[in-house]
Amino acid sequence: MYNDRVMEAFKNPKNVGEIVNADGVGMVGNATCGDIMKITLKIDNDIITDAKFMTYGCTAAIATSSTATQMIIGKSIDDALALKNAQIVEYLEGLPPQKIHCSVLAEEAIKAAIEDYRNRQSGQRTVVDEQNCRMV
Amino acid sequence: MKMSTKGRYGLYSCIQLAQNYNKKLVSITEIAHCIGVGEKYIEQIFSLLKKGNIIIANRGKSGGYSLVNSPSNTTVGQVLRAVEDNLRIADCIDSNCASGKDCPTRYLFSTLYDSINGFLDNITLEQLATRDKRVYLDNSATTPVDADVLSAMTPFFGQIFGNANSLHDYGRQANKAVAHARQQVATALNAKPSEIFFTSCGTEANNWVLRGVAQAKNSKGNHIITTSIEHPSVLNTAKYLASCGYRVTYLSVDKYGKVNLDELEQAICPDTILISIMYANNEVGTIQPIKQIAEIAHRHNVLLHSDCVQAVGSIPVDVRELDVDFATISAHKFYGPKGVGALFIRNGVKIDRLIIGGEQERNQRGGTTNTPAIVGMGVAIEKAQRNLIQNSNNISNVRNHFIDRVMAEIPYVTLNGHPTDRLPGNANFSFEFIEGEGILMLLDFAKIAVSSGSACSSQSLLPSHVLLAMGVDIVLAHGSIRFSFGKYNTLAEADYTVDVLKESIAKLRLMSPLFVLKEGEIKNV
Repeated sequence: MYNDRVMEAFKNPKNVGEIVNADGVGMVGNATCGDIMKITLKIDNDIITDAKFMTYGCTAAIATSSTATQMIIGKSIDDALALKNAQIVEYLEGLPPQKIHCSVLAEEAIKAAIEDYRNRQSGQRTVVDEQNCRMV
Repeated sequence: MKMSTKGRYGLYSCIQLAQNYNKKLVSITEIAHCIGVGEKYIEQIFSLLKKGNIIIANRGKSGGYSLVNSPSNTTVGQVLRAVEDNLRIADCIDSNCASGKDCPTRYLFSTLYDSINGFLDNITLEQLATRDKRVYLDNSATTPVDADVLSAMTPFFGQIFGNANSLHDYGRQANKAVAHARQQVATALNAKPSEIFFTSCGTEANNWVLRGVAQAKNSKGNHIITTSIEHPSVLNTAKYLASCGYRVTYLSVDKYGKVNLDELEQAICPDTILISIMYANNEVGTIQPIKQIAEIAHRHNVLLHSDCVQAVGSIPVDVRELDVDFATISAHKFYGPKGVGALFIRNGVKIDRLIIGGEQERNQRGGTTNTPAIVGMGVAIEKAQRNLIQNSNNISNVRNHFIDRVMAEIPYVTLNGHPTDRLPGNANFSFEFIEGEGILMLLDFAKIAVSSGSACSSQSLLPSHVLLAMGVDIVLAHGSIRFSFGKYNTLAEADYTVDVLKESIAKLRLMSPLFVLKEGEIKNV
C-alpha cells in the first residue's frame, strides 16, 4: 500500500533527533490517536538553518515528518509557514488515503514550532495543551 | 534417481557460506553442528568443493571457509557437480556404448542430463540464501497449502473436472470425492457427514448462522448474544441484524480475553435465540470455555454457535464434546486451500438458507460445488487431525522459546492474552512508546511477515477492538504485534526474528518522543 519513496523515507529517515537549545519547538498529535510529532528548529535571522524530528507513529507519520524537515531546512520562516501538507504528499509521490492525516500533522508540527519561535521572540511562553499535545 | 546426502549437505553448506559471504568465515565445526553430522563427513565434502574451486580455505586463528565467487555468481549446478560425481544420471552419456549415438535411450538420458544441468545452473546460491531467510509468522492470517493437499486437489482441476451434481460419470466421480471429503471433515470434528455443509469461507458460514437463525427463530425472539472480541464476520453481521431490529448483547471479556460465564447467564432472556462465541480468538489466541458455555446455553434452551476457525488444526475440536449446535471452520487456516469453509449444523436444528440457488448441499446452500477446494479441505483436516498433538507440541515449543526471549531481551513489553489458555502458535505483544505498523514494516524489510493490531489500515484511527475490549491501554494497543507460528517454523527462525525485532524496536524508540520522555524520567529517578 505504500510506494517505494515512502518506504525509503521510513527506512532511512533524515534529521532524526532533537536540537539542543532549539529556537522553536512544536509538538502535535496525541498518543491515543497513535501519532505524536515533535519538531525542533534552529533559526538564524528568520532562516531555518536546522530542523530535527521525533515521531511516535506509523510508517507514514515517520516518512512525512522526515520529509517535512528536509523541505524546510534553508527556507525562511514565512516560506516554511506556507508549506502545505499536499506538497509533502507530492514530494513522497502519494500516500494512501487513510494516511493523509499524517502529512497534515507534519504541516501542523512545523507551524507549531515556528509559532513557538515567534512567541519566544516576543517574550511569550508557549502553552501546551496537554489534551491534544498541541501548543496553543 | 536420488540426490545423495553428500549433495544435499554440500549445497546446504554453500548456502551457509553464501549467507556469510563478505561477513565472516565459516568453520567446518559450525556447519557440522548445524546439520547434525560428524565433522569428518563435512571435511570430505569440503575437500570436493575445494577441488571444484567452489570454496576456499582461509587459515589462521579466525580461519574458516568462504565462497570463491560471489553467491550471485555461483550456481547450484556448479556446487552439485563438484560433490555429486558430475550428476551423471546414466553411464552411457559419456561412455562409448556399443549402440552409440543412435541408441534411443541414450538420446533420452542425454537430453534429461542437459535439462537438469540447465535448470540447476539457472539457480544461484544468492537466490537460495535469500529465499531461505523468509520467515512467515502470520499463520493465523493464512497458511500455505500443504504439498499432500495440493497433489490431492490437482486432478480435480483437470481430469476429474465434472460438476458434482451431474448424473454422468464425470459428475459421479466428483460427487464421490466430495462425499469422501465430507466424511473426512465429519470424522475430524466427530460429527456426522449429514451435519457438514461446505461454504465458500468462514465468513460465509458465520453470516449463515447468524442470519439463518435470526430468520428461522423470528417467532421465538429477536435477541442474540455474542462477545466484543469476535471476528468482523460475526460482529458486523450482528450489527447488520441490529439495524434490522434484532437486539444484540456484546459480552465483555477480562484482561486475558475470557468471557465471564455469570455475565453470559445473566444476559440470557426469554427471547434469546442464539449465542455466538468463538472458540479461540484470532488476535490474542485466548481459548473460551465452550463446553461450559454450551451447558449454560442449553439449560436455557438457547442455540450455541462457535466460530472455530482459529481452533481447528491447533487444538482438538470435537463438536459432541463441546456440545455446540453450530461450528464454523475454514480450510486455509490448517494448510488447506482458500475459498472453502464449512458449517457444522447439528442434526435436527432448523436454520434458514443464506445462499439460495440449486439443490447443492442438500438444498441448504446453492452454488456449484467447489470440488477441488473441498477435496483439499478433506485431506487438510485429516492430516491436521492426525498430526495435531505432535504439531501443536512443536509449534508451542518454538513459540514459548520466542516469548521467553522477547520478554527477557526487550524492555517495556507486555504479552497480550491468556498465560495458558491460548493457541499454541500465538504470541501477541505490545511494545511501549512505538506504533505497531512501523514494527511490522521493519520486520517486513528483513523478510519476516507478521500482523499488527494498530490502526494502520483502518479509517477509524482506533486500534484492535480485541485489545481494547480486554482493557489494554489504547496507546499500548497501537503498539501491538501478532506473531503466529505454524508447523513449518523453526527455532532458528524464532531466534532470527528476536534479533531483528530487538533492532527494530530500538530504532523506532530512538525516534519516539514518548520514549525519550520516559528515558528522561528514568534518568531523573
